[in-house]
Amino acid sequence: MKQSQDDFQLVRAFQNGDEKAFEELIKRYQRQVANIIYLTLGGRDIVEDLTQEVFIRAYRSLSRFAFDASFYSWLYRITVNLCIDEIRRRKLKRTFSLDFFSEERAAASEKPSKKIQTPSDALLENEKRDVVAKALQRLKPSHRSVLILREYEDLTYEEIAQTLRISLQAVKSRIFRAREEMRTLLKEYFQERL
Amino acid sequence: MNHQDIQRRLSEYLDEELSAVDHQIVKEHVAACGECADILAQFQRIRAGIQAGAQAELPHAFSSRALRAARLQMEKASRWTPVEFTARRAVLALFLVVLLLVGLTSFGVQQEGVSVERYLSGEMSDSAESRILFNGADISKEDVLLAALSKR
Ligand SMILES: [Zn+2]
Repeated sequence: MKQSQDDFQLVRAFQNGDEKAFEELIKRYQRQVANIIYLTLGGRDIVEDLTQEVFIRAYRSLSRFAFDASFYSWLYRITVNLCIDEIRRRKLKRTFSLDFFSEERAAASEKPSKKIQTPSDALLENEKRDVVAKALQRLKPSHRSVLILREYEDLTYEEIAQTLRISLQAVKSRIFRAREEMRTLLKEYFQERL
Repeated sequence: MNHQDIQRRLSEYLDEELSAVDHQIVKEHVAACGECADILAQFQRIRAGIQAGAQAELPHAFSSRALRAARLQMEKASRWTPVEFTARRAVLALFLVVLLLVGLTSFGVQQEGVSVERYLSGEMSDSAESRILFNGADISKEDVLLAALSKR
């Protein structure tokens, strides 16, 4: 629980009217929040707006923060909920728009190319990143966020359970299933690169 | 623990969420079992891929801009809250008034309707009722008595 106590001091200062304390909290967590959003949804264009929306929501409800959990797990819960709202919104939009077909086609044509002969290390690195990111986007949202909190944020199972308000058992099985799904999705890729 | 049991625990093993005893058992198995070692290696590559993918970028002035946006939204909300509150109460009051008027008129219309109908059908031509109906306040005790009797 790094910085937990420190965060509490800033939260208290904000609750007592110190706005600069909130800006300090933003500075502390903006990168993590932005990356959770980026990894969950993909697409750089929306990251800044959604990150800002997370902090707007936090600002609005921080007066009710009860100090019963760490600040970051509270903040990541807001982040994950916002991502899930966004996924729902997109799904709805896609259901009602003809773009659905063109998006599917675009996704199909984005499959990793198999014909790279002598890629440089940087290229290989980029490719790996993109392939994994694409697979991640295909996981169920509930599996996706658990895996991101684990792999990117390095939260313990206990912290993830607290953040998402689910049981420890649920965390355990979602992480396991998410990894198994990822392995299936990346099967070809793993075989090529062994 | 057999090979299958170990496989189900590889994920927790990687996350160091197993008890010390189980951790040791899995560790020894993985050292001897190629298949489990492969799965573990793939889990590690997934982890590395996700970590490498965390490339979100924010502009330099993000924190001050976000704070300003949050403050602005809050101000807007607090400016609208009293207005909304008053508006909601006004709508409620209007609704109650309309309800009251509708109640009163429908009650009144019914009575009047019956009287007019009976009047038109000739039932009460030149009766005490017609006098009550058209003379308004100038009603004597006799008129009421006659009206009551003429109902039969
Ligand atoms: Zn094995």
